[in-house]
Amino acid sequence: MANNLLPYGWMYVYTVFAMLFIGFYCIFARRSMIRLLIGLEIISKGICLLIISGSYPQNITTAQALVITVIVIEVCVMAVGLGLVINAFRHSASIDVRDFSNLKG
Amino acid sequence: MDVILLAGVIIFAAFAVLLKDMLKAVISLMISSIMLGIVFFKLHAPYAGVFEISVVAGLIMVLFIMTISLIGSDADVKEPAVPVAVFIVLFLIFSVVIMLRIFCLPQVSHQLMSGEQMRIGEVLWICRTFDMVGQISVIFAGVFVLLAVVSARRRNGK
Amino acid sequence: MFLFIFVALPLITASFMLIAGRFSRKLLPDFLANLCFFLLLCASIAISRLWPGAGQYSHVLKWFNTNLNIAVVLDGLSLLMIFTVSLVALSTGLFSINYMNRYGSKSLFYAILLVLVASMNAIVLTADLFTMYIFIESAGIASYGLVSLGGTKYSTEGAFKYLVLSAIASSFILLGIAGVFVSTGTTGIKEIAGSGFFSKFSVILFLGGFSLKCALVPFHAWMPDAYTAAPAVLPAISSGVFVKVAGIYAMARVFFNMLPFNAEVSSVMVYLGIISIIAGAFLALGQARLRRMLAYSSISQVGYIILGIGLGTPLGIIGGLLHLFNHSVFKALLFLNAGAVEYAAGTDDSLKLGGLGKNMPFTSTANIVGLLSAAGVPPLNGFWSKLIIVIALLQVKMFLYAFVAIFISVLTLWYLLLIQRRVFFGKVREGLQNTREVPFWMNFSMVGLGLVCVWAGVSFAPVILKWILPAANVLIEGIRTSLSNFVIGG
Repeated sequence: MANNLLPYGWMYVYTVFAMLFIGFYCIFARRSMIRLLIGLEIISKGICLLIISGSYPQNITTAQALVITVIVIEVCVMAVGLGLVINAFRHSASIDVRDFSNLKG
Repeated sequence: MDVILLAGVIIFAAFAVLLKDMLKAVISLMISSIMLGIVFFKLHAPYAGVFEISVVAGLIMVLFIMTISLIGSDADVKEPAVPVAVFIVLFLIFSVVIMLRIFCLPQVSHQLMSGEQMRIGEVLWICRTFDMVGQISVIFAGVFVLLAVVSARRRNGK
Repeated sequence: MFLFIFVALPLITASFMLIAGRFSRKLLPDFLANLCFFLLLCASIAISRLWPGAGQYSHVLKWFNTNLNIAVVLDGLSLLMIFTVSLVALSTGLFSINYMNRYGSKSLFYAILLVLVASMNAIVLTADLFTMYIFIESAGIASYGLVSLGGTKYSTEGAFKYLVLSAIASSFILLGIAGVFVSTGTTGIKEIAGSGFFSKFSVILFLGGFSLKCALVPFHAWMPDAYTAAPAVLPAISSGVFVKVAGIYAMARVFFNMLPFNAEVSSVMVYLGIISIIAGAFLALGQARLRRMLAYSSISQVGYIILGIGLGTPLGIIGGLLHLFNHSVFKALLFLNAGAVEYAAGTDDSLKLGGLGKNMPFTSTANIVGLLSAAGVPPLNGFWSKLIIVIALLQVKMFLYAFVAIFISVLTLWYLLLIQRRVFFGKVREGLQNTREVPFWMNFSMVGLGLVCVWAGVSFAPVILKWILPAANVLIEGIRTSLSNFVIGG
């Protein structure tokens, strides 16, 4: 997966994996609903960087088309998530995921 | 120069996870997005860079800031008191593991694709038209679901 | 150009739905949405009559002489999925004519449901991996919206939990697609198969992502909470078709037609299947609430489908696909039934109900048909699919797995009968004396699904020959191609 046509191609792969690690850490170790959405956003950024850096001189237009579509999808998912966060806050004045009462597995 | 940009992307994303104040976390995520957009420019992908800066660092961050100001500061969640050092230690272990394996990853050998001299507009609208239908479907879904969520709130608020 | 109406017609109807909602609150949205579903069902039956039985039909659209380049591809597996989606969508639409009167804006509900159906049709009609991903996301957003239509605090929490877990799965899938794109330079399924790409990393990512979408154990955590908090039409259409399309169909396409077929992948699918069968059945034993028990039972039945398909033998694939169709029908019937019970009696907690069978004959009869089908009792349709899966297991000498499959089937019959006895028979409780039968359209859709169960059970051989065998041939061709490449090319 390392791009052999880029100088220092391995740096881009390292950045992708670092973003994925930070994103998954944020989802699994944080309790506020908004932080979970921030974690999802960081994971998406990592994947976009993978798509663009891995197809550097040849497929760059197709890669840009894919990244544009991924960003549009992310906007819609974030908007729905934030709407649900506001809704949950209006119901019970708390945005802590440990307060979800029916987490009975 | 590229090293500085990539390191900036990682560091500001880590700040977005570790900072306690929600607003500062969102602003550091915005800075990380802008730096990622500049990285895309340098990789000869200007349209992806424009989208990243204007949509992610613009639209999504505005949505986040609107939500945070609607919720107010009395909804701050008491995070578990795990010190920052744990995160740094885990990150260093992870980096060491990745760097050991990164040179064993398969090198990409490209078959040169012809027809890549097309412009981005033609690729998006002519080669991948079904994806555009997909984007329309995603936007419809998002709009209708948001309308349903808002009207539910109004119905319960009365 | 005829195939694209499966995607275009629901989307256009959804965009008119909000305007129609302004003119009349109930009648016009009901009529338009159900007309759309009925047309889709007729179209799918019409296509199946013109279908030559094998091969692939692909068409590139043209619009007023400009080349639009939307490539819709139809083969046997897609035809089976389109028929299942249309059938369950029509019965859900008819059911919600009466059921969704209590839940607020009906035109918004129909709009979201139409977008969901359009996305699921587009998932099965495309031959490009990234397009499949976009429509999986679109259908997912529509599902989160339908969960949150329940209106209570639990609906919002269940919808958020579903969103986060499903978005993690989507990011795994997208990471796999990005890896494939970077290595091969293309995202079309045929081109990737032709280039002989294989990497263990992508296999793990795709397995994890798609297993979470179809709620296999250990990734099943979102299903019970999301299904209990939503209006009853969501579990019917989600467990009925969305889990199948976004999880099982996508997994079958990726692992049978795109990547070379691997013995390790097959064994992992078999393990996941058998663990889901056992865990789902045992978790369903102790549940009192009707919908939660049905959600766990869904997890168990999806395990049967993955077990059948993951075996890789022709008989196993036929059994798995037949169980896919049967499960869509009887599980939708059971969930709609739970919704009818809740509509009439106000709760679906079986400890508080009793003796409803006297006043609700249609509902209790439909429930009996559904549960006998789910448990695999002859001559209903569930029996044949489970029989074929057990025979396939015996054929490859996995005797322990066959015994477990039969045992869990008996256990399914037991816990479903227990709940049915508690809810429908026995003494009528005090507050429930004057429960009446549910309104006409709800009865009509439940009886319709029950009749489909009986028909598919009694005349199972034409069903297998006409619908299942072409679908199974697609997957078997994929295995044969990858094995022959392995032998010849090395």
